[in-house]
Amino acid sequence: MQYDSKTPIYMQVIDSIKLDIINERIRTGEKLPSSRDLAVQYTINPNTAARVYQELEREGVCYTKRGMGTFVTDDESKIKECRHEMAQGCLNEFLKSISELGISREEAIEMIKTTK
Amino acid sequence: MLNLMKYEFRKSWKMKGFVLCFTAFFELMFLFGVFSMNEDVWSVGVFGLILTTICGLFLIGVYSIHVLSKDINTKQSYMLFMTPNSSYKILGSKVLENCGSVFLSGMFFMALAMADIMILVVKYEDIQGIIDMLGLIITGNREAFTYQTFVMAGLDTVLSWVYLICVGYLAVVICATLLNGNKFNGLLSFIAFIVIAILVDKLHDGLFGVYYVFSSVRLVSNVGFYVVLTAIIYFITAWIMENKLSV
Amino acid sequence: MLESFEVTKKFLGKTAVDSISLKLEPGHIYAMLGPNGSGKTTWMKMAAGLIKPTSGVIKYNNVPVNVESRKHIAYMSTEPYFYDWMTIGDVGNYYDDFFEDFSMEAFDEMLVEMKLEKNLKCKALSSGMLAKLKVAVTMARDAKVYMLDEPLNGIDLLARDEVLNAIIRHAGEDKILLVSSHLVEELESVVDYAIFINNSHLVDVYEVEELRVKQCVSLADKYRDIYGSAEIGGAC
Repeated sequence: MQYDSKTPIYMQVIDSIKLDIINERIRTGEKLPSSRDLAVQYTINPNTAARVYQELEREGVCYTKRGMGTFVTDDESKIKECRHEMAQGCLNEFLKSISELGISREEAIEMIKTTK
Repeated sequence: MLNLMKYEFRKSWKMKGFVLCFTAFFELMFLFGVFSMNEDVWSVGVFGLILTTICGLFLIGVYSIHVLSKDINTKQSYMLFMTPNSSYKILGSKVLENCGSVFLSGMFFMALAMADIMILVVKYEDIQGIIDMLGLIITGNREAFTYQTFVMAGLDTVLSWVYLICVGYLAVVICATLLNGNKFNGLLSFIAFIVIAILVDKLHDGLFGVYYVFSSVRLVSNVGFYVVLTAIIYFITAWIMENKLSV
Repeated sequence: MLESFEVTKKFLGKTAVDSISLKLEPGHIYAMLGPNGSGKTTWMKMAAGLIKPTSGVIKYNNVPVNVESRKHIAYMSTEPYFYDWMTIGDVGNYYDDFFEDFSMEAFDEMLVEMKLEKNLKCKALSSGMLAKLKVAVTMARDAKVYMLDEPLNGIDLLARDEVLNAIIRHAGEDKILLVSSHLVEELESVVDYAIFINNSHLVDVYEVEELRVKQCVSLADKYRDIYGSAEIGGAC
């Protein structure tokens, strides 16, 4: 995976995992790799991988069963919330870029409609 | 320590095998000559054996100095110096393995020579002339040649060679440490080698006299002299390696 | 813990390392970054006990590094150093003979992963294969400190991934990993801390994620900032 140069790496990995969960590449309740395997999978520092799981847990996207590993939450509403948050993030980025180009919201909406 | 010696042997066994092959070749030639009573063939064999002995001992020693030089001056030095072994052990294994090889092959050549002479004595009755000739080659003294003096002369030669090899180690180590970066370090360490060798020779003559007399007292003190010298040179060399060597 | 106290190394009047003080703690992967010839290799060799500092001291667990510390500190030099006669199998046997912490099983596993055959002669290996072999045999030790000097030098993308995987797999709570490179991007995601060295001096030690969180710059940006002249700052 390529990492962009401004956002912390752990946040980029979190987003990637969330996207996998939203797209059901990882299903609800599924066991996630150990943090060491996650580190290898994403070529990241093992401490960063541990931090990824800590954050995901804090947000309620994952939970840890003692001695069993980390699992994706079964709570569908949590995942919907994630999707909403990420969509909002994309929108904010989009609006920022479009306004930098001097295009109004209305124009932008029109462009979205006509873009195939 | 045994592991270090194992790899020292691994580095030089080809050279040693080579010497052994030559020995076997000339020995077979000698035996064939003797049993077919062909004097031309066995004298070539004898000549070959003498040559192989001298060259073999020389090459084994010089090659071991070359290996040490490679082991401290090239990237391969990491192989030895990254292991948890002190310079005393690393050099010690070299001294034991290489000088041991020289010593053992020296003894082997001597035993072989004696066996061959015995065969000659059995096969030819009037052999005294040849033994005299051999005695002259080895001791420079026609009357002094007996099996006993032969062993003494051999032991003496081998031990002084072992000690010289160690001086060679010292020179290589001085070259790589104290003189490191000096433009003439190779030449200077060679001069150091010669100077040490001459000084020790003078010391030897001072202690034992210039004239060579065969006696057991002489033999024991000579052996002692070279063993002590070898040990001193070894400690100096290892100390320099341990404290001054950067690989 | 590996600590360097004002370590200086001079070679014939040329200063290779100038008064470097550092502290490396277990549980972290450190990158040692700087242009070629900045003093990274010299510092590592001193920590490995291969060369002696002109002044200052490097201590492992409060004892100056010595022959004994080589049992716990695994060093991999950037140049190939195996004997000419060795096969890959011989290299494994050699380590097995000299290092108590060497595991032949771990070595065999890594050879399979890296697609290296034991009967191949070291002399005949490509630079990528040689780089992988060096990493495999070094990482097959269960050492407390690993110091890898330019492990990614001159190898292709796939070999690079295999080497980085081996590094990540061996990180642990009780281990210190130090990896040097003059290529910053290669290591950025893998390390916790980056030690910047320039002209034989220590510039600073940065925590990679902190740079991104607090200053909104990547390690590569920081590197350009310090070694180049470009002014790079980010708005978070």
